[in-house]
Amino acid sequence: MGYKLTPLGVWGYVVAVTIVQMLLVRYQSLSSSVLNPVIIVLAFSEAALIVMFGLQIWYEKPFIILAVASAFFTALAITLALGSIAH
Amino acid sequence: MAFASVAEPAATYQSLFNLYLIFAIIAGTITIGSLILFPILYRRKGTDEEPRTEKKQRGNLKVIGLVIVLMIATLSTTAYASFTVKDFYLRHPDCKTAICVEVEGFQWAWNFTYPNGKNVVGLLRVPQDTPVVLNVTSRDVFHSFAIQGLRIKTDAILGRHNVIWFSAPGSCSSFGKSGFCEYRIQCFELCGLGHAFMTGRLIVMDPTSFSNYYNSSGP
Amino acid sequence: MVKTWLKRWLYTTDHKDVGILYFVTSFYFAFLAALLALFMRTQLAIPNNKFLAAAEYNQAVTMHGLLMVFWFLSPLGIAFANYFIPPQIGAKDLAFPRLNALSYWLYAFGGLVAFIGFFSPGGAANAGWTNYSPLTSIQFSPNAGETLAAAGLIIVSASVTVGTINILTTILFHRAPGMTFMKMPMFTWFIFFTMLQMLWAFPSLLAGLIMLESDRILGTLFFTSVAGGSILWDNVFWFFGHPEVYVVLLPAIGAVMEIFQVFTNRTLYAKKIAVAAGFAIVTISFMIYGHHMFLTGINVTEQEVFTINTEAVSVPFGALMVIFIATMYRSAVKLATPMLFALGSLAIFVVGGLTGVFNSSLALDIAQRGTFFVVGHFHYVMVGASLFGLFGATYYWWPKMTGKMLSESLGKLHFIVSIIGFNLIFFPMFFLMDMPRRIVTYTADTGWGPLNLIASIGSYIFIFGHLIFLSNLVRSYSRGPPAGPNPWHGTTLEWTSWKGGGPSPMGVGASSIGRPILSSLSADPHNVKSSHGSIGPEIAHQHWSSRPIQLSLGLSIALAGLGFGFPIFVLGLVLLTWALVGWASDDLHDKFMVPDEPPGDRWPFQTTTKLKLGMWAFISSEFTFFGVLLGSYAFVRYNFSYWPPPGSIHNIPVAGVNTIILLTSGLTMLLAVQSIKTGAIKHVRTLLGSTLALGVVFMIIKGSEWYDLLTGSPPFTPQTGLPGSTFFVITGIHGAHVIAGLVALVYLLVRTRNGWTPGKRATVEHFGLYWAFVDMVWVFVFPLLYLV
Repeated sequence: MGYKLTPLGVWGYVVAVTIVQMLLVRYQSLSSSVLNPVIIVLAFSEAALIVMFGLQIWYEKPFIILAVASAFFTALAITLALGSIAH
Repeated sequence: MAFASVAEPAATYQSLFNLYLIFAIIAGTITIGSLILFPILYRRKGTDEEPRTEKKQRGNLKVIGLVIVLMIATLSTTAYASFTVKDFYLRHPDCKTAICVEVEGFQWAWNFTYPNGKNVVGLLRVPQDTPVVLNVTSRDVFHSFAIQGLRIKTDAILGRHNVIWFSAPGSCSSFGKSGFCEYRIQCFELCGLGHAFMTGRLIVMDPTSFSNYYNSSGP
Repeated sequence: MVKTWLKRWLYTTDHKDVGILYFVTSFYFAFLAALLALFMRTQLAIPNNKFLAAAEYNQAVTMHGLLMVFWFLSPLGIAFANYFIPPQIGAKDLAFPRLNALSYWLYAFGGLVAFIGFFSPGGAANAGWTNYSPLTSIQFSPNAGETLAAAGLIIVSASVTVGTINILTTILFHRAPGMTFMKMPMFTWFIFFTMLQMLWAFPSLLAGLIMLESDRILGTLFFTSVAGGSILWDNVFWFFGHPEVYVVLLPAIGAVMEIFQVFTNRTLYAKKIAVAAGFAIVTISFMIYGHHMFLTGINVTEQEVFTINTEAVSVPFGALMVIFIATMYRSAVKLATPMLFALGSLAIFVVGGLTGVFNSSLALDIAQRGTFFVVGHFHYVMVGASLFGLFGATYYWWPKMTGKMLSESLGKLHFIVSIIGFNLIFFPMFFLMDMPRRIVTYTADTGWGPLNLIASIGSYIFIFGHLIFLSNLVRSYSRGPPAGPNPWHGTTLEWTSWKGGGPSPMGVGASSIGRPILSSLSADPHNVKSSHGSIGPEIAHQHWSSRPIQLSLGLSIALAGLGFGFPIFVLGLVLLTWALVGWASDDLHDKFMVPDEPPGDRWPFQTTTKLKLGMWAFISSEFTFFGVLLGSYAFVRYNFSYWPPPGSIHNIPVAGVNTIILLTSGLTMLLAVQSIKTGAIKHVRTLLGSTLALGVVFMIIKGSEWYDLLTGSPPFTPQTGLPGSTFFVITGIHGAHVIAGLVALVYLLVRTRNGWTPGKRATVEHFGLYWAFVDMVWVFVFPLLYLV
């Protein structure tokens, strides 16, 4: 039974966050310049959990090298491209 | 050695180029020289045939450290000089003191529109020693507008406006058919079949001739 | 007799055979590309020449670049990597032999797809190897050739992705006991660096190509709209393009390091620094691509960053130069042909690298951009440094590949003619800074005639050098003097231990590297003279599969169908499906057996499995792929003043429910994986089935969502605007990944219907990684496309 806790916990979190994200947009209580970053940060938190447990980094820690490197180069691509927009 | 000069982008450019060239020649001579010299100096003399391998890493790392420090120092200098020159290129005068011309590239020619609405294709006439600001864009594909003789260039992209400027002296080494100083305008980005033929002429006139031209209706 | 020969070469999965295939094919493409270059130089020799028309010239210059970069230089490096990495690290073969063959056939057929453009109406691709937008849009390049070239590149991207995973897993997993990272030969190290660059660079190209083909065929607006367009392509292409040029270079530098050590009879000076420099080059190379965009109008601060970073990359290269020179200090240099080419490669690289510093300046680039100065620079690094290094590698490793020696005198002649010819072509170009690139002709009054004539004469001399080379290869292969197992007294394992015998007393110094390499070949009586002896029938049986070539053919025909029409696309898909089913069926019946590598040095992945590592490498590249795709979406949005507010087009509650469905399928999958790990396998198949069911529901809901959007009033389609283009392409690609996962799930369920073996349990874990990744992507796609 114990081994089911982690998957259920992860699932519970991501479903809850999904609902929260939808509610935030539905009720537009914040301006979009604050709302959008919040939603994106929430998405990152979901991704972190999935990467940690779904992609097994929690159980086989050396893979974190690949995860961090991939995240680094991808972030680099996006940052440099978006940075080129500013005048 | 002044890097920023008001009138002549070409001279400014050349100073910067020469700075890089000096460093390049020094670095190149030492490196290529060693690559040629060392095989001769340390050629195999017949007795050193058996493969030698050392377990410990070979070499005094101070040499590499020194080279890296030298490189960083050199590259910092060149970067700083480049930034200064680029800054000069970017600080264009406004349209009160300069003649602002709209430049539009299309397949396969350059369209120039003067402040008074005068519109000419392929030919840009300017008065000498006067700042001219060019606002460059494209009507279709990616082109690149350049007057190489004056060392100015910018890309011509649909939806973007890139600004460059120059001020051409009245005396030069390349007189054209018009009897005035002429410079070649050309496209520097592959833009289709007519890329090689997407040229134009810059004609640098004396103030009176330019005035007559500007107020007339012909090309 | 012919049938066995054919069967061997079409179906081989042995790394040496695949290496030979890469070797021969890359020279074939080089020959085609060199012919194109010869045509171009002939055309440019004199002003106003009429040898080639503009249309022909543009095709020549485009295809010359594409073929040389993607189908010659890089694959030649991979040929040597294939052949020599396993012996260098003490392995029997690459990690995934069938994937190796797949890489090769994808590469070969991809080249044919691109080249066939020459025979299509409108001719081959003609917008430059850089494929700038909007010239490559269907409006300005209506010819099928551009579609075919992009399709060929997509196929090559697939080839590279597969090959990268393979070689990285091999280096991480197949090292013999005692072969720690620091004991690895420098060639293997530099291939390792090359693979790292490919892993993260090619996905960007792939994303760009998919968006490009989508623009051309589906009418989306990624690169044709004003909001993004050219600059988006510039970013996406050059993020790939700059690391790519080091991908082309690093294998040659690795080979030069090997050659240097053998022909100076010393170990490399400061080997640890060389490795550190390699890591620095890999990292920095991704941060400098903006030097191709200095004049596009991007903001100055970013330009300054790119200037500094580009200058920074010359520091590790400078360190490498010191290392090479210092290795020669107080050594015993023997100027055999491999060493001549190695030295030549480095000398030419210095010129190329220094002119690169000129181009790194955001100010100097104002005059140099788009001119022959740049053409001179990159040919010095690509042809000079890379090609000469690879020529050296050929002379160096030929005796091991064929068991014959090449002629030293012809080799030296080749070197002299090449060095002269090469410099005659490209050095004058540094004085042609006023001449634009890619122009079909020029007028006499420009004064460019004399230098162009010299360059063209040089090109004929250079080609003559290649003919000398070719004759040397042919002569040696057919009747050259036999070579011993170690003619150069090399110390790396491919020379010292490839005898089927005991450990090498020298070289890496650790006697724990000792198992007989290639024990399966020790029965080969030709083994002592040449490692490339005939492969006995039992080996051929173990080591062949017909599926890689079938799969590659299917995929290539399908993608060629993008240019040739829907029937061809369908034909390709049918063939592809048949090959995939065949591959799966082979696995179900355990038809392809490769002996396992005994455990060796696997740091830092000691506790994981080979397939898991391969899956992780694959996910790493996919991560970048989706990152670039979503980044392009963000780029486009930032540039677009108007974007439909959330909820105005899409049905958020439905999408939210669908998201939860997909996440729940992730839960059942994760439970399945955890069950496998804890041994509770009773319910695993039910969990897999639930995952499958939930995934199918997800796709059905997505399909109905699409249907409603496409048939709504007004219709929301990929062609109506960027919101449509981005939505359909991104969710479409994600959906394709889901479907692929569902197909794999079906296969998993079929495979496990008769009980569980350790291998089958592991497969569930590996699939779990993929499925978690697909979930993770959606966790970003959902808010980005629906909520913000």
